[in-house]
Amino acid sequence: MNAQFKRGIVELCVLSELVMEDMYGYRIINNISKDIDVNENTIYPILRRLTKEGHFTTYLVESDLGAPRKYYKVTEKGFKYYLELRDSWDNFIGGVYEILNRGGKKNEQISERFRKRIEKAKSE
Amino acid sequence: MNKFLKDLEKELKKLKVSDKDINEILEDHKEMIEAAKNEGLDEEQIEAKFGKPEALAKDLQEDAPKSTNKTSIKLTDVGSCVKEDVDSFNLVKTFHLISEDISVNIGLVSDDFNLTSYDGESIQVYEKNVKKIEDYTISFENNELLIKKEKGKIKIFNFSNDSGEFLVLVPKDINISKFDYKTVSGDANVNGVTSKEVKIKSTSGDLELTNFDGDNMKFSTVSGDIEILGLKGKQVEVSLVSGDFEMKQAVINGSMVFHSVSGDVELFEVECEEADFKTVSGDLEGKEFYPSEVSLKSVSGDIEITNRNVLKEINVISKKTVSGEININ
Repeated sequence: MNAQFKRGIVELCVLSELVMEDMYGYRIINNISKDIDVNENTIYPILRRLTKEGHFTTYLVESDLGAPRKYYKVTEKGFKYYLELRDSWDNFIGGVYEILNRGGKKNEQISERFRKRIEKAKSE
Repeated sequence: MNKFLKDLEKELKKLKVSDKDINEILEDHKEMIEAAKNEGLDEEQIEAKFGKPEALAKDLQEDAPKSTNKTSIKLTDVGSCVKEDVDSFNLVKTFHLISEDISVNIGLVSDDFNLTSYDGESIQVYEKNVKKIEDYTISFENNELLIKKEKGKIKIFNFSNDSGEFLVLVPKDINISKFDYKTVSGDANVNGVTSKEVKIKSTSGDLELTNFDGDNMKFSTVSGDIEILGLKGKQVEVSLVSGDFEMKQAVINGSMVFHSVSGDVELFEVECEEADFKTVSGDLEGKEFYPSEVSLKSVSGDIEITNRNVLKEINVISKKTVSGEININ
């Protein structure tokens, strides 16, 4: 996947996770990498940038297992940014599916349609 | 995983990331790797999860593309003007000077603006949180620095507060022949600048001026407040509707004229020739304020001056008021 594109999507996911609750870095990475193929080196730079831009703040929480952990918390600004980003994502992805579904929703449908088209072209 | 951290440090150093940032990034990674270990991941799994240090360093840089061309500058004279670290800004443009005389023309809407002198030789324009930098004209032509938000592109329905902040650094010894600043709601901070002609116009944005050297200065706001600390000037003209004006430690070798509807004027350790105060209900309060002449035209607004040095005489040249008073103690 195009790196820039992927970054935008992961940014949205990171925001979404943190809108639900405050989390420490590894937990965010774990939660996201469960569902999409992405690793730390994509997520961490995003966490860092969004923090620098004031979308997140951080605080330390003592941990039973070793060093204190840095928790990330969405700010008011970050929340607004999330809503905005999510809106444009929904619009975008909605538009993409609008286009894709014109050719059918299921693989069988799409294949059948394509086969028919090829046959028709041959017979002409 | 110590190798990962060491390699990461090496890569970040290669990319000239600041020591402070490197430390932070390494600390964060130590913590995250520990967390991964605590969840029972083995070295191999952790490696897969964290990827290659080179890739991470590159991503860190790419993901903050504007900060990569950041030059590390030492600011000796930033003063109180730029409260936050210059490091939090991103360098947009650097302009090299041909002449020591320049003019500055700023036209913004809601973005904040900072201008300060520094120990460098070029003009540097930085931004922070400015969403669409392409909507701004940022140029330096014919010795004029121009930063302007393009009018046609202002959104009517602003979903979120998308105002950012600009920071302009100018060389210390530079002479600004004309400084023109207009804003609607953005706040401005200007520090350590010499300018012959100053025109500042703001609707609701506040203005803070420190260590300023100016000849002809015109300030005008509707509801924005103006605060000036340390000024040398020849002529000051202030127009306020409801905004307040505060000035400390100023020497004006000419007149000061105030037009205000309800805005108050507060002066502390200020010297000038004539002071002319026209207002509806605003008050002028001066402490250690030494004008040679003073005049008041008001409905209910007062002038009250309290000075320790009573030998310096203040002449009242004219007083037209309904219920206002002039008290000089």
